[in-house]
Amino acid sequence: MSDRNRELEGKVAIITGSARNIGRATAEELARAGASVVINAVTSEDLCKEVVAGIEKDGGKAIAVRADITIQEDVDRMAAETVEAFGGIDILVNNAAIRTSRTFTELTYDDWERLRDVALDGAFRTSMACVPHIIERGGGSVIGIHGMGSYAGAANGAHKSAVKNGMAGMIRGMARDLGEHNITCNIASVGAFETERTGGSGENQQRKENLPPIGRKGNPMDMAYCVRFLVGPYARYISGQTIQLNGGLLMPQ
Amino acid sequence: MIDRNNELDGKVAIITGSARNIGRATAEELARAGASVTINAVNAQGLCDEVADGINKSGGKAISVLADISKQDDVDRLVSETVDAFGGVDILILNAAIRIDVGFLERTFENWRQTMAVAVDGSFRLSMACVPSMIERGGGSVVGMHGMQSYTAAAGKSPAVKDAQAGMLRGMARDLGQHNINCNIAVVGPFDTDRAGGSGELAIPKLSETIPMGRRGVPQDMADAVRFLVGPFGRYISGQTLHLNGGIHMPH
Amino acid sequence: MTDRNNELDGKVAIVTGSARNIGQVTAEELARAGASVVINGVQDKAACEAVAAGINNAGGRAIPVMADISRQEDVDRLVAETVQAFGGIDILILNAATRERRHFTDYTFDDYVKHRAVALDGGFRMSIACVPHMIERGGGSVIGIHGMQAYTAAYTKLPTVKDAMGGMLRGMATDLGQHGITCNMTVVGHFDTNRESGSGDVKIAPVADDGIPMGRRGVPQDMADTIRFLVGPFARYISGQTIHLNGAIHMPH
Repeated sequence: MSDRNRELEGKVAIITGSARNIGRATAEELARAGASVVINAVTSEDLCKEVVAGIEKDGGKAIAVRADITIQEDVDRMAAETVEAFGGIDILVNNAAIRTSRTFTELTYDDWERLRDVALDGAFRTSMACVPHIIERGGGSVIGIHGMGSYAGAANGAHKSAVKNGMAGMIRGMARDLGEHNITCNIASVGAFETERTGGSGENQQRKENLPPIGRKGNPMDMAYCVRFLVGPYARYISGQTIQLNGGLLMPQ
Repeated sequence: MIDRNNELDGKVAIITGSARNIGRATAEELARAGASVTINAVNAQGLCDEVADGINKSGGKAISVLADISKQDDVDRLVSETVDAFGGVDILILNAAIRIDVGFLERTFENWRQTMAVAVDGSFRLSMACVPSMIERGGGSVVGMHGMQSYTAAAGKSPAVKDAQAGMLRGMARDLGQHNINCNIAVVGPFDTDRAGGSGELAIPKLSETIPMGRRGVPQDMADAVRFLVGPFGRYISGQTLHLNGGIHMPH
Repeated sequence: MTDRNNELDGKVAIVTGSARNIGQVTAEELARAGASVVINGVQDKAACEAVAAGINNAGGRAIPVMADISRQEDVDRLVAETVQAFGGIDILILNAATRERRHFTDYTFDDYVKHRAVALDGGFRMSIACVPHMIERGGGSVIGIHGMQAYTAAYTKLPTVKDAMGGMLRGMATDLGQHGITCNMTVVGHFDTNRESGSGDVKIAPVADDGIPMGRRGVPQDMADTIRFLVGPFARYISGQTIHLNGAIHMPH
């Protein structure tokens, strides 16, 4: 019987935007599960190397790849370096995005394009580059990370909402087309999370009224656990789905 | 660090309708994860005992308790026997249901009440009976199992019953979160439960659109997902509906 | 009391892609309700002129404007000509799209760019251009039309673009509600648009086993009736919603 502590042994995973926060926590968790992971960011090369060093110290396998997923050559290079280092690709986690906030009446087409290029087009490019490798390995998993604010149509984020919903649509279309290749594709949606900027300790830093039913804000480990489950051997029949991680704050049906 | 081979060690789970199929596979999986489990059905004593014996022989811990959850006395007995055997309740899997597949015009009020009595009233009774123990034990997990056809409102399948249970579970998620209890719904897609050795093969392709993953689901698929939802790694998922259907239906 | 035969009197509507089918019938319906409408297409000038002429002959008000909404200059011209002819803009119907039927493994990034340029980027361009006019007029309505197959992720229809538009509309709904502008999405189920006299007969039925509960396919008039309701004075509290027109074959909730 397989060891559930190392259920991703032999697997290779790319996590875009994994120098910090959710991306980083997810990459570290997949590495703990036995996967060889690629730590990626646009500019924070030192931070990436730090993350890699941490993983290696714990006995895991990782490389750092600086790549701007809005640039096709960077994406191709990232896939090639991954295959060269680890032999193939099994798992892709589309996490990279940029922070932006603009009310619609002030939104310029430029604002839209800049975000779209990273979080939507970038996810497309990366998925297109990785999928042939995943097919070659006999199957795998693609995840899109999604923000709850964009689900509920949050203020000052029509462009964010468009991008994240677009990525979700892409994932569902992929789920439909790639099932025959044993590739599951799902969305994990972030809700009410702590991140670096809010000094994430998971503790009650906000007013009680803002807390989800479970009584605390989410932290990156919550997402990491969920992604680890979705990409692993115990979730092979879950595809095209959207899992909300929000402690009960929003309950779509 | 938590041993992922035994992450439910010390936990106690009740799985209604666990004499066969998905209920059984789920109970066996939770037992493998270290939980003590109560196997339950309305009448099938022999089958329940067989399941419990199998678990005990493999090194797990299980008892079998017959109970009809549409009856308050049975519910009380189901819970008290579990507490007597194992000390409390942490996990409740609401799987039991009866099916009466008729169109709206043919349905009688009796049909309506019968199905509600088990899946809705019964779920409510059993949840009410288990939650105090979960609160006492510092937390817990409730999962309701549904069939996808009630989501797509397929002909003859009344969605009222399962939607009512889902609504109840979301309300519970809201109110019980403060007690560290998460509540979720798992939805069974096109599953292969009709044959003992369900291989998942698409032998009877009634579905006009092929299932992307190329096979029907098998009980183990559901068991794996439930194990995740009720365990230490799914604590932040509450009030959610997880569909297991190989990609044939993607609500969003 | 509002005359329900003429409740859009004084309103100005742009309907992208209205040379035929759902776009055409919707434009004609809004014109019957009293709105001045802009008929739009990319290449089929004769068809657009015919539709506009038909409306004018029937006592309505319409002008044809050829424009490719994937191009900013065309968008600016379309909006300017509308304001010049009719004095402002109240209603925007985003109907234009390109059809995309390709398996993910056959999809190139260029295919994706072409696909998103109209329905997504074009949607942004048109909305950014029209909304200031709506604000000036004290309110308005934006509708995005979507195909159901993107919701059910039917084989080879990559839902990315239309899902992204849904996200955009929900974000707009949040930001623009204060200006009296509602934004909604309508989703086309199994519609009959292939034959001129679309009778809605369920003859060629690539539908699920259950068949369509209402016993027929949709016709463009079904969509036109719903849009007329959504953009008018009796639906001012409906915003950020998605309405499915599919005779009960698909019931998201």
